[in-house]
Amino acid sequence: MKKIAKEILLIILVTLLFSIIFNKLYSKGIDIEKFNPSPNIKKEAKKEKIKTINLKEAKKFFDANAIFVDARPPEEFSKGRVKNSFNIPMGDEEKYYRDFSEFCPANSGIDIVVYCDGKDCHASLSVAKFLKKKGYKKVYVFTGGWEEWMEADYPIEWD
Amino acid sequence: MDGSRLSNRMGLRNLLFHIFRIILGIIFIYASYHKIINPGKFAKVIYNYKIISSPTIINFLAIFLPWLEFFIGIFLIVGIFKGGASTISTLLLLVFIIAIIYTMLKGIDTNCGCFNFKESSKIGFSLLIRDFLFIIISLYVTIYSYKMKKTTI
Repeated sequence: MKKIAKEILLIILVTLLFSIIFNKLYSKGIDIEKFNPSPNIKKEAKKEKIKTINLKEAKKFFDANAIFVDARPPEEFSKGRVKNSFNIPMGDEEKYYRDFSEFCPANSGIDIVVYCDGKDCHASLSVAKFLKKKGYKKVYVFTGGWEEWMEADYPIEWD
Repeated sequence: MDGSRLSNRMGLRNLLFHIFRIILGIIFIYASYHKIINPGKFAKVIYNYKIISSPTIINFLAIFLPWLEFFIGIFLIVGIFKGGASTISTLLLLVFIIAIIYTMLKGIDTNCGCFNFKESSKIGFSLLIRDFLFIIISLYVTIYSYKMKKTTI
């Protein structure tokens, strides 16, 4: 048992040493502190055939009574959100979808704008993909998210 | 049971152990290749699992895990540190299985990044069954390695 524990430790140490040195020398190596692992939302949305929209377009959709879906966790949603938005937090889509689908069924043909924190968050795309799967045709991702909406002083609400 | 039948059985188990450890070694080396040459892409895959939120930890794992897989594979094939390597491989596979189940339960739609970064390698039941098969092989190698260590002491 002791011998195996020593072997495990040795393997981990060798790996640690080797991986760090290789990463430093390798041209495609990444900076542990600075590299942003979150995928490029616009590029990924394009791949999924989901349209991304900016603040101006989001406001137009809002004025045209589109449905806004907030993909952030419920705690953040209750602290502040786009006025009249629904919460479908990423990771809990199925649970929150039940209420949402009653209000807005997939065949309603209404525009749906999904947003999360801001430019670096991925939740909006994840929830948009979920809604597309459920049969919603007009789903858009507002990449600027809550941060841009709030800074623009557009209509908000909270609990 | 007579002596020859017993030794035949032992021989068969021993043969199976060597076949399994070499298969497992090849699987791990093959799995590590794409991740080693694309640490950035692998970091994005880890991010997509939505289990870890810290970019620093994700980036560290993207650098460390592929090499861990590589060395496990090398040690298993060469036949040194078999006990340690197979123990880590079993634990790693267990972590992968838990991550897959978590992702499936949460309904997260992402590719597994196990052997490549293609869209076709999406997380699902087939992947789970494959990892269960791998963990059975890995467990066999681990248990046999422990038994071997006991008998040699």
